[in-house]
Amino acid sequence: MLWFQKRSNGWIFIELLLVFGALVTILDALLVDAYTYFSPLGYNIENTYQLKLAKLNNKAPGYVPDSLASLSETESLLKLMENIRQNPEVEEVCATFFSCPYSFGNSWTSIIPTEEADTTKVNEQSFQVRRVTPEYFKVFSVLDKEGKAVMPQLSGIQDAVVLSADLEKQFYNNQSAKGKRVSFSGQANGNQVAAVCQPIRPSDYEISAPCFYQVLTGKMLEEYINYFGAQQAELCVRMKHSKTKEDINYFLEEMGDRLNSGNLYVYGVKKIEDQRSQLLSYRERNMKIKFSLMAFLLINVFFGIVGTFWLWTENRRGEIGLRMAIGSSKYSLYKYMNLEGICLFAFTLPFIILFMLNMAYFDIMDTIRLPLSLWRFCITIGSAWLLLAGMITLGIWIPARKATNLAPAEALHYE
Amino acid sequence: MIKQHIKQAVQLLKENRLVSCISIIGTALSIAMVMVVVLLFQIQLSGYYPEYNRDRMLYIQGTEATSKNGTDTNRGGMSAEVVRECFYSLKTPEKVTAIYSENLPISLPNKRLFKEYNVKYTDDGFWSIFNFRFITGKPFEKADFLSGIPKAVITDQTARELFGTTDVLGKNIVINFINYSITGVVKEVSRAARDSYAEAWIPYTTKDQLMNLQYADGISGGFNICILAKHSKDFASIRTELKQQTARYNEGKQLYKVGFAENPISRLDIAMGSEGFRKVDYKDFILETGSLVLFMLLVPALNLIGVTQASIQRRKSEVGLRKAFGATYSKLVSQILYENLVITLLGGALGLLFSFGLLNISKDFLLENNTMINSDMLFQPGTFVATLFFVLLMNFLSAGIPALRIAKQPIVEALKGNE
Repeated sequence: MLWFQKRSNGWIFIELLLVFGALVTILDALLVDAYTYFSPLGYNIENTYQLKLAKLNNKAPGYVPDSLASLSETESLLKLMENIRQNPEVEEVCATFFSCPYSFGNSWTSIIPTEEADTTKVNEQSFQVRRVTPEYFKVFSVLDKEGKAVMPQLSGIQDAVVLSADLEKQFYNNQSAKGKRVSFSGQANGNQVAAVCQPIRPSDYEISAPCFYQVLTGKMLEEYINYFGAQQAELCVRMKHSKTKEDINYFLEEMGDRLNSGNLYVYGVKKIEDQRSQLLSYRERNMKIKFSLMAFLLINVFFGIVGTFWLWTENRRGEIGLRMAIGSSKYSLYKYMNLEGICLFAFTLPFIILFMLNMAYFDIMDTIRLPLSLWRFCITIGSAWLLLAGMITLGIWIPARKATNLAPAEALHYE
Repeated sequence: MIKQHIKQAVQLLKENRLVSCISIIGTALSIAMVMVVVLLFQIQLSGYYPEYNRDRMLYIQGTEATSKNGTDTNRGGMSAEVVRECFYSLKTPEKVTAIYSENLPISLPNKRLFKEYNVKYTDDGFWSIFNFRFITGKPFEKADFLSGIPKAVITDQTARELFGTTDVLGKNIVINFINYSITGVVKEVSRAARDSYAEAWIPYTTKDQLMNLQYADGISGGFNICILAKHSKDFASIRTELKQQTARYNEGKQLYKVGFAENPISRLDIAMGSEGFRKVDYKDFILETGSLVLFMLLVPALNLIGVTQASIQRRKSEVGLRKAFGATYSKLVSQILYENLVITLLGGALGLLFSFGLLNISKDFLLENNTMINSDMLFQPGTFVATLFFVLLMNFLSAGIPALRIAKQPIVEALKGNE
């Protein structure tokens, strides 16, 4: 039967094939995105804000030339942090240098274990370093591998570092890194690993990469502040309760002069979640475009099926009438038409599997974030198939209803 | 004759309402999707408030400072010194402006506020390159700029938010603890006009940190440049003159040299997705966008082919008869194309309307947040020409194949009316 209709069915078959191929590609990309998006990030940015710092313009009232300043830059920054921490609405505040989550800043440095580890395996290699004060781990709720807080483990250790679990694995295989020493930026005696945190993903759409934290206290902190300037520090704050934009502006207005310290002052605030959506907007835009394209394709399939089967029923009204006259039920007629549609569609399946295998073979699919596996194939092909089959069923239903509502006598009239 | 075809086509449309509806809506949808792509490109390319002269503009988006021994490269904007030495000294262009933009809170003299506004630090040339509509007042002048007098131009929207009125000439706003007096209020700008968009504009000479940057031998900084040429024919000579200025400037530098990568780029380059450091080739753009557009036309065209094919099939005997009476091959093909054109034209008109709606719904993810879309961005001659072009393409795709096929059939076959 299908074969006899090949003229008009041919086009719809090509369309189904094209759309199926496009759907599978889009769904596969979306699956990988979703899978990555929902795995743990390694930190928590809920209710966190970045306070933006600046130094007074030399024409601004209250400007003190550096030579006359009573507080050093480090002292100004620490005083500012203390002022903020004392506010009862603030849970914790920390300072970071180009290391705030979802900021564009990233620093890389080479790091190597100083003792025992299998040095033949470990080449000196660069990893991302985040330079943070100890409170960072509380502000962003970074936990160690066992799920315990990292911050208490840092107390009393000078120039501590915290490795991410994947860096620990790379350096020490399955041994624990805690208490061992690593050396970076060419320092000879090395720094003590105070804790090992859970794997850190740079953003929601990336997988975790080995990285480490350099914990800044005392002399080291002062060195960095003098090098970069205190206004380059990112002050990150975790509030006790969630706040709207107006609330947080009001909070800063209330703080008033306590946000000034020497020539340093807080000039603005950014919710880290907003910064996140800004940074990810490109990805989200991309995803929405994919969804729109998918909707467009599905609607087209619907139209195509309605059109084709409509003409089909028009051309065979006589046959349908005859069938009904000799007692075939509406339901069985509908079933018959549907079967034809689905059969037509089923023929596309082998082509699609071939297409997928081809894609996999030429490594066009994203295999870094999610390795190829049978379940990935099944989910993408399965969901694309279900979506299309749904559309086809819906598309056939309309002409079928019209055809079967015809009185048998009238239908026979066409014969 | 054409009138006859059209009459016949309308008759056919009425005969099979559902299929006609589907064909028209299907065409409309696909034209709408394609037109959204076209409109997005057009918003990037064509001129509207306040960037009317985009066809005469060149852009420097990004500067490269490379150490003379080649070990260190710093990418970003340029310093005020580079702006002065390499750009203000250009002779060929009509005007040049340097722009640095930042999100900053604007406060009132008696109240410190934290709501942020987009502020552009710029010069007096800015106001002659972009044609702002001033509701009251005027821009800050060259003298103000040169001596760093804190004056500001703000939008009507900003004025209303801060003061509750647009009658704010001479009043003060505070940015980074400095009092700026308002010299003008302009009508607000769409974010799509990326180079001129801001909520407040102030002379960059009022920010000492911007004036005295010392990164990379005094080359790196925050500025980007817009150049207005007297005529787009001058682009090549402006590029040459800029090269000479840059070479002269670099000779005087000890440690670093300045470079502008792919800059200056034109508006067409930007519309095709080029940036200062990465130029998109014309060929790549056409290949990439073209294949997307073709795909969006092809899928619905396949639908239409099926439908046209079936309806022609039923009229086989008619075709055979006409052939027997001596209708030529080309006449038959054009008859079918004309008849189909009625469907695609109806679909095209509907699709253009759809695309405006679709763009409005999806602007949040297609354009930057809170971008206003004005009618003068959409109603450009290009919009209609493009629609017509895609309608004809669609028509050809969907009716061409069945038409060619049936016209080729031998008379006897056709007369029999067999499948």
